[in-house]
Amino acid sequence: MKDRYLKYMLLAPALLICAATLFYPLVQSLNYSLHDWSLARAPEPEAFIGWANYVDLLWYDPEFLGSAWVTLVFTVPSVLLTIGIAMGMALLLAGDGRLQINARTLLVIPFAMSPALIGISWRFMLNPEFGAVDAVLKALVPGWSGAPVLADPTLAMMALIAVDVWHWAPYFMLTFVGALAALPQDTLDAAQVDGAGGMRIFFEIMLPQLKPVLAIAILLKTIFSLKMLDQVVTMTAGGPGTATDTLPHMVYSTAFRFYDIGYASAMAWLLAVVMMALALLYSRFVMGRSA
Amino acid sequence: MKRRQFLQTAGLYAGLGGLALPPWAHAQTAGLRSGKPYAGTQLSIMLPPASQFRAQEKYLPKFEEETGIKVAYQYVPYGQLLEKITTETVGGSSAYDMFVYQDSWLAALSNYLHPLDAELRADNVDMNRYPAVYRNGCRINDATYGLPVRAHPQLLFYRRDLYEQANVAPPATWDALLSAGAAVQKQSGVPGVVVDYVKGSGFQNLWLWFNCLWGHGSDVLDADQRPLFNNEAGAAATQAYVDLLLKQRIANPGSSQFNEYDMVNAMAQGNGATMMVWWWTYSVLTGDRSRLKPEQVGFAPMLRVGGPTSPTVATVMPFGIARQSRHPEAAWEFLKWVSSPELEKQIVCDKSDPQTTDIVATQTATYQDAEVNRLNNGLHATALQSLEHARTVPQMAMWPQVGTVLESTMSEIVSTGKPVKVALDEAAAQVERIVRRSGGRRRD
Repeated sequence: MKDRYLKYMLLAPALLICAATLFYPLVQSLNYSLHDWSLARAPEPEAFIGWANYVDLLWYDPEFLGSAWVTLVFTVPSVLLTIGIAMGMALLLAGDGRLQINARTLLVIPFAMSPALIGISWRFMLNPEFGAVDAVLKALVPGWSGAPVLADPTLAMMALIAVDVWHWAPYFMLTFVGALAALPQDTLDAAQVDGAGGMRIFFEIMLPQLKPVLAIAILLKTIFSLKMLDQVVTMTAGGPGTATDTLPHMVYSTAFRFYDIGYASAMAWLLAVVMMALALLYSRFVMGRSA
Repeated sequence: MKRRQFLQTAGLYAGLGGLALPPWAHAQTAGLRSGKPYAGTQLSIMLPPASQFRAQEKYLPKFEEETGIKVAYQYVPYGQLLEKITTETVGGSSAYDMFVYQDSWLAALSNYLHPLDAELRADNVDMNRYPAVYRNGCRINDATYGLPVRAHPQLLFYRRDLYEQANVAPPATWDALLSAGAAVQKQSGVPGVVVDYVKGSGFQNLWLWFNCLWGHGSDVLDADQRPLFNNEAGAAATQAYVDLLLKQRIANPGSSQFNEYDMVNAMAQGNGATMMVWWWTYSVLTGDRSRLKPEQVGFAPMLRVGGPTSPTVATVMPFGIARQSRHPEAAWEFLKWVSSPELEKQIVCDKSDPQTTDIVATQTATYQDAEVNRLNNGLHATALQSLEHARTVPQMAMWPQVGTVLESTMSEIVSTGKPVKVALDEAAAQVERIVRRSGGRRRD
């Protein structure tokens, strides 16, 4: 067999699996999004309505646009804080000392927990009557005790972001610890010999070399934040009001609580298009340039 | 041993032996078909965890012995139940022969349920044994899609000790609630009432709002499917509901973040003097994990917001047969058995095991039964009073969307102090769009 056919033969199983698990659901959901299909009316897709679901979403559904804004409000700080804190922890905990190894092991526990469990646990901890956070506040800042954090729109969003950062920062810390260990030691030594301070070494020597890893980390965290669902479902259910009603939560509710599969598929596609565009832009401009 | 002593001892042992018999030994046949025509059939039932269902499982061996049908209870947490039913039914699975659903889901689920009217007629099962509100909770479009094996009326729970200290009676009206709550709070320092205003827990923050809404003479939609809840009466009802926290300040301050579980927990921990909720919470308030002693927990019929005939809210969780079941006849046999008055009475009278002790019953005769009331401190007779003029939430396919808009609105008013009328008008605009879309995706 010629080499030009062999390579396709070798790729074929992986391509088939990708087609079955990725392309088929994508195409099928696109098909659903072009139909008017409510499970409450029929178990099979109903009338073909073209782009009407998309038109409804973008021109006639202020809740969808509100939810898109909420998603943005959640995503930007959660990405910046996660990456910033993860980098800070990585700089502190890079190295092979016993303390650093033990601290890294302990800090990775939040990432090992199930997101749904995290949401439920934090919901209990933030309970104004018997939550652990309230007990600490009662001892340290009695004036803040008893505040119903998850019933205040701003505090609820802050709590959601804080919990997301708490969950993801350890994972990215490990990524950055690995990247820091791979930096050539001679450049750092040379900078030190030349009298550069810690900040200058970080910003001018380390950060440029970390850029490819950082770019991937930011891309990944942006996608993770855009599709974050579990904590919203278990901590706030999108409330109070619609203050934390992110797009994935809206898609989930529309499909599985409201049974409006066509409309939910259109929402999911709009979200997927945004994520794909982000990934393309990133890979073209950030990762491409740094490579 | 003298003859009399022997007879007494034998009688005692016989009595004890009777008590020690497994519970299913007492079960009676409930119109089951003779000859075991469905022997060897395996039934699988999806249902949420509840001590009532665990109690039914204890009695299953007798049913299995009489019919040869094997039954497996598959528990799914209540929060995931609708999703699981959706996944199974839409996917065309016949893994579950029956499932337990909530009355407000029926409009959306009726396509996936087996109508039971022919079976009810053939076996002379009298639906009049249930209160009207429970019967209606199982019916839509003139067809019956289940039997109400589990259902909850609202009750008013109160701290008997605190009410006695403040020298007030349990409230029977909304105005009485305001004055009693304030008096108890002033006397004891314990919040006068606990409410669950948070969204996202199965519309829990709407139940008490419905009492207010209906009591003020409003409703969710009018006969033409237009929003009615934002009219003058609806706004007054909503204002009264949120003012427990915002103006009267007799609600526990945590109420804005409480769901039903938190609310019941707050009451059980002694942080509330009054609570209006489903009757099943009685066992939580008087259970091992409550700080309250049973004698501290009082209960009364649910108060009436408007007048003596104003509706209360009830919720029904019928057992339905899946349309995709391969064994609908065997499932019907089981449904007859599990809904039988005898089994229901046995379960609510059996206090031998805390894991299976339950008060939930659905049949009028059980609510009125003297022995049932003696063993349950009169809870069932009180519940029957609550059920007079009771209603379930609107049965419409778009209820989950409409309910979500309304629960978000209540949560927003309470958490941000947004003016009630403005919030309700915004919600009405959303509901209008939902109604417009519900018949098909088109715009005016």
